[in-house]
Amino acid sequence: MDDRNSVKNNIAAAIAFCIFLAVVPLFLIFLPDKDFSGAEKRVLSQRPELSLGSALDGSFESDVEKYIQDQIPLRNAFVGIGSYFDRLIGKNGADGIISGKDGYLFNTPVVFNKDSLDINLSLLNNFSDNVKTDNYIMIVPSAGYMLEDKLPAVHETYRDKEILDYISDSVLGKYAFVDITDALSRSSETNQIFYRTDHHWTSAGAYAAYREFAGHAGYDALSEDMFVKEYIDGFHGTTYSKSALWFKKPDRMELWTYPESDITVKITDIGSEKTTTSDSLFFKDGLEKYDMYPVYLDGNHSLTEITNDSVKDGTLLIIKDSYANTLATLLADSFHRVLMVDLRYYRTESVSGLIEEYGVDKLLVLYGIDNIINDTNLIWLK
Amino acid sequence: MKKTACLLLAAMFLFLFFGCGKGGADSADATASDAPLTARDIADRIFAGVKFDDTLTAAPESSAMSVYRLTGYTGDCAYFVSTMATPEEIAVFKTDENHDVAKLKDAAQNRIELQIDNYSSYAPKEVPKLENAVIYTGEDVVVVCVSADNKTADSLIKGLF
Repeated sequence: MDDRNSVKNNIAAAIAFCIFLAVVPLFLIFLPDKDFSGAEKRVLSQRPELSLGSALDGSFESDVEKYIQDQIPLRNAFVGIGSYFDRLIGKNGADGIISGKDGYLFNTPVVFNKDSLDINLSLLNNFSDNVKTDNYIMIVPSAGYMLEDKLPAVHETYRDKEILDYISDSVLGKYAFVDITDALSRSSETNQIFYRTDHHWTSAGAYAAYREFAGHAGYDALSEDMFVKEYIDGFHGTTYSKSALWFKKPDRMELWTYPESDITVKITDIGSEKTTTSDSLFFKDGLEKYDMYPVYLDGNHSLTEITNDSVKDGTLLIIKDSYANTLATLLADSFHRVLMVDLRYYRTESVSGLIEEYGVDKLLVLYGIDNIINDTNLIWLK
Repeated sequence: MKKTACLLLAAMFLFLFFGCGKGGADSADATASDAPLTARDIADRIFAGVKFDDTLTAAPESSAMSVYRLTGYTGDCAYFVSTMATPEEIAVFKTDENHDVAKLKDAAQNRIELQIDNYSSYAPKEVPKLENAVIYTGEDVVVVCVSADNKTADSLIKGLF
């Protein structure tokens, strides 16, 4: 009797397995392919084309493997299960994301590649010799460094202080180094300064930097209660997408508006005929997309020009990465004109020419700590 | 049965010959001339024969050294970069006394990995071009091509050598 039950069970298991093997390919054949994963924020592999060449050189087989991995039904669920399982067995950070306390997801520490950093700092220092502006540099430390109490007990060391000190020494005499770590630390006592599910700072974090920069650049920083805040819920950012920890709670974004400002935003993309203008610093169309962060100044573009007719003077040019998108929405309330140049998109035009054309008096270099080391686009700075 | 097997073997040999014939006109051009191609020659041929979504422009050799982090490199190189927001580019590096093929290939792979990391954040739809980027290593040359048609680029580049 037991033997019969055992045989029946084995047969049932074999049948179930065969059904699984038969059904999954049917799903792959008949269900429409997805081209993009909004959760993971990446393009998914499409059905490969068979050719004699691709069959002979093996690329067809590897393309099929990638296709199945990307298009298998319930992919997000499988990826998420794998990610949670990895953390359960102690592989927290293996995928580049450390799962911390209170729902925080941190990028693992940046590697201090001194050769790469030296190249970038040399390019910046050389550029400073060609312009007649007051020059500042602000480097945003990583969330894991600033929020050490949110990290798990065991984690890699964040070398942010060492890197920031090195940068400060290397630009001495060329740029005023704006150290925002103390300001961020003080703000973190009462505010959330970094998103839990994204590597960027929040509006509160950017505001701490805005106030600190005021002390260097000589403008009067607006107090926090002068801003009208709009709250946007449901933001899942870069670290969420990379981690696949799908049950992490979303963040709240804040849009800070100073009612007295009279703002015009003009966005230009080099190589494109299109110019976008707006009377708002916030592009709410972006809130419907897979990436909500471009609500701040429509994300990254070659050149973004913000003019505030309620402020009489002061022209600031920011050479930047995406951290500036939030900060610039605050700086725009204290300068007549703020120009943002993203060298990932501004390669063929002259930044020194732009400085001369607009009569820029203050230059701010603003990067996250990983990009100031690893970005290779500073070679376009001229 | 034996006749069928012979016919099948003959057909297989024919297919093998077709495979060796890949590269077409470019391959014939390369073999027709005895002079080795310069880095700029190679880059020009790739630029002419491969589809790019972006506008590429020739950049100074110093830019290539900086971008690929090749300190002290003195070899023959050529570098075409995109002018807009895509990762498309062509980079050709010939070996010098301090940079052999292995070192140049490492630099190329590091560059592509870094670009994948960067573009994953701010332009994820460009990442497939990088994931399928061509990094060709020859006897004394490394060629990198990120384009809208990396398969054609791969065939074309292999046909040049």
